Amino acid sequence: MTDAILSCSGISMDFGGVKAVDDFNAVIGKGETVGIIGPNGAGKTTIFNVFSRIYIQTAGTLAFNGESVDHVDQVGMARRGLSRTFQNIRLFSGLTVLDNVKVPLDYKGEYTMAEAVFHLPRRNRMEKAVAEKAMQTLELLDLAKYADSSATALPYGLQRRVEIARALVSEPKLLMLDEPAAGLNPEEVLQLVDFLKEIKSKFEGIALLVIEHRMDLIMNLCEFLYVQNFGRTIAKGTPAEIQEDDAVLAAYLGEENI
Amino acid sequence: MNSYQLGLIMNSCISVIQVMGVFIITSLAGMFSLGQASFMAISAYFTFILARSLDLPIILTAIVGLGISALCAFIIAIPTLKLRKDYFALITMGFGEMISAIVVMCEKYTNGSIGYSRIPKVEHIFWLILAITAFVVYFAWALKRSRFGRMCIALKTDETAAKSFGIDTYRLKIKVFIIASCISGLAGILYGLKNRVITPDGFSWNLSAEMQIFLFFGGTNSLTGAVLSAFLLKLLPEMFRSLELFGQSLQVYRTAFYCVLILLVINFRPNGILGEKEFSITTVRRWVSRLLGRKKAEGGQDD
Ligand SMILES: Nc1ncnc2c1ncn2[C@@H]1O[C@H](COP(=O)(O)OP(=O)(O)OP(=O)(O)O)[C@@H](O)[C@H]1O
Ligand SMILES: [Mg+2]
Repeated sequence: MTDAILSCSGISMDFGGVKAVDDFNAVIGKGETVGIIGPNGAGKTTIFNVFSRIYIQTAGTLAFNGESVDHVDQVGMARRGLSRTFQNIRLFSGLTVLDNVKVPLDYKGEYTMAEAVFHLPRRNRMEKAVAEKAMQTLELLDLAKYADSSATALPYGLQRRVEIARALVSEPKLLMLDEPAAGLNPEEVLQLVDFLKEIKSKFEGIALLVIEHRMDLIMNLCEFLYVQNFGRTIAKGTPAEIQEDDAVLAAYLGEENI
Repeated sequence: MNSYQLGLIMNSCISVIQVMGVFIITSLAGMFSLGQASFMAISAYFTFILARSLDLPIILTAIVGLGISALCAFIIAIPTLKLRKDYFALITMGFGEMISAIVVMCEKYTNGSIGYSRIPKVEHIFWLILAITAFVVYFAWALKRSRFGRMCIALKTDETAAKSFGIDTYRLKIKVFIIASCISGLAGILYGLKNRVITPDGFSWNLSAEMQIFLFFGGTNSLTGAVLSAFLLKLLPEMFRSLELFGQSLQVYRTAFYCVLILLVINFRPNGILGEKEFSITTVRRWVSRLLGRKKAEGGQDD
């Protein structure tokens, strides 16, 4: 399948007897927005960790952009164009907001250590380009005024946004967001939805995979949903279909709906 | 300045170079090496023995000496840096002890524990050491401000996150360790040129630990803090050498003094004196103006 950016079949992840993910199958098309929902401990984050190769699945196969990536490690996956945020914010504490956002561009920096040390022209040119690009991304997220603040000193909501900026700056083919709305107030959630839609128009062909608890966000944003419970997919379909699904209503949307 | 005072300054400069080596390993890349003194030994012994036995200029053999330090660092790094951080600290410490033992064993070349003293005299050693110190500090500063510095700090704070942004942390760590070991080697060669004698004891575990203490004292992520503390903590105990306490030179209490210092720092400033901050003209100006402001306020009270 050439128009899928990521596809997996039969993915399972065992942690010494705990089946965190059990036989997960998914296809994410280029430019698509897909959501994963499910209660706590359903294995959502584990799916992300397998996709980004922090964990290597215990069964199943994974393909990215038409290429099998079962043998690829975390670094290789990032370099192929998969980028993510973390549920428990993981900004680099010794760096400013701007430097945090520069980091994903650094591995492909073209200047050598000697050029870096002697401040040769190419180093200065590259550094300027990287700073500009990082700054543009910060502006996109309305973070420009925090560029020189220490990243981990910012309030929680802003840190989440910096995480998104950092994941976006390398212009990934697939951007994975792990509970981007956690800890945000309703107004901020609306902003986030608008912003994510803006990303889709600005970065042509970017696919989004979003884990979320907030139904307003997921229903507004996603074209397709996977509903996970105890590691298994209990339903999949468009948001409208999912809202009608009895199994989902029972397992996830809460008893009060029934 | 008399030659004793020049000597003290040279010692402090060499201490700064040593600490720049561990700064790059620990403050930038978050690794902990307890064997950097052994790289001083490797470079120094190779440089001086080769210069003597092959009758080559020091500048040439120094390059070979540094190259051998780099090679050793590479060989240790390949298997060790795949393991957890604490293993790296252990292995470097073991490596340090091994090098000391080898120096003693190869008595035929190194003159064993008596020390090797066939070291040629170099003109303008003071200025040479000063210039190289300035260069090494500049090197560390430029490195910190480059993409390599950023990648290192990312690696230090969160290796998994760093990897998920495409940073090949394993290779980065190897690179960093090799560079730092060359800097340590450079300190070793200068130490030999200055003292005109090198002994295995001079490069013992104590020295490796001392570097880490100086670094830690100055600030866990502050280059200027590291430079200042490396210079001053080396210098101050020497200045008190003539003072006596309980009938013994204060110098004897140096280790105890360091320990108290470290305990105080851990308690009151867990990130070192300067922490993450850099010491700059603006900071100094701010301090001075604050101090003057306070003086003025006090003066006002007197009136
Ligand atoms: N490294 C690990 N070792 C052992 N068990 C793990 C590990 N990672 C996850 N698990 C287990 O796998 C299950 C799924 O965890 P996961 O974090 O993927 O859930 P989640 O759907 O993201 O939940 P939440 O909504 O709380 O974020 C949990 O039971 C968890 O305890
Ligand atoms: Mg989770």
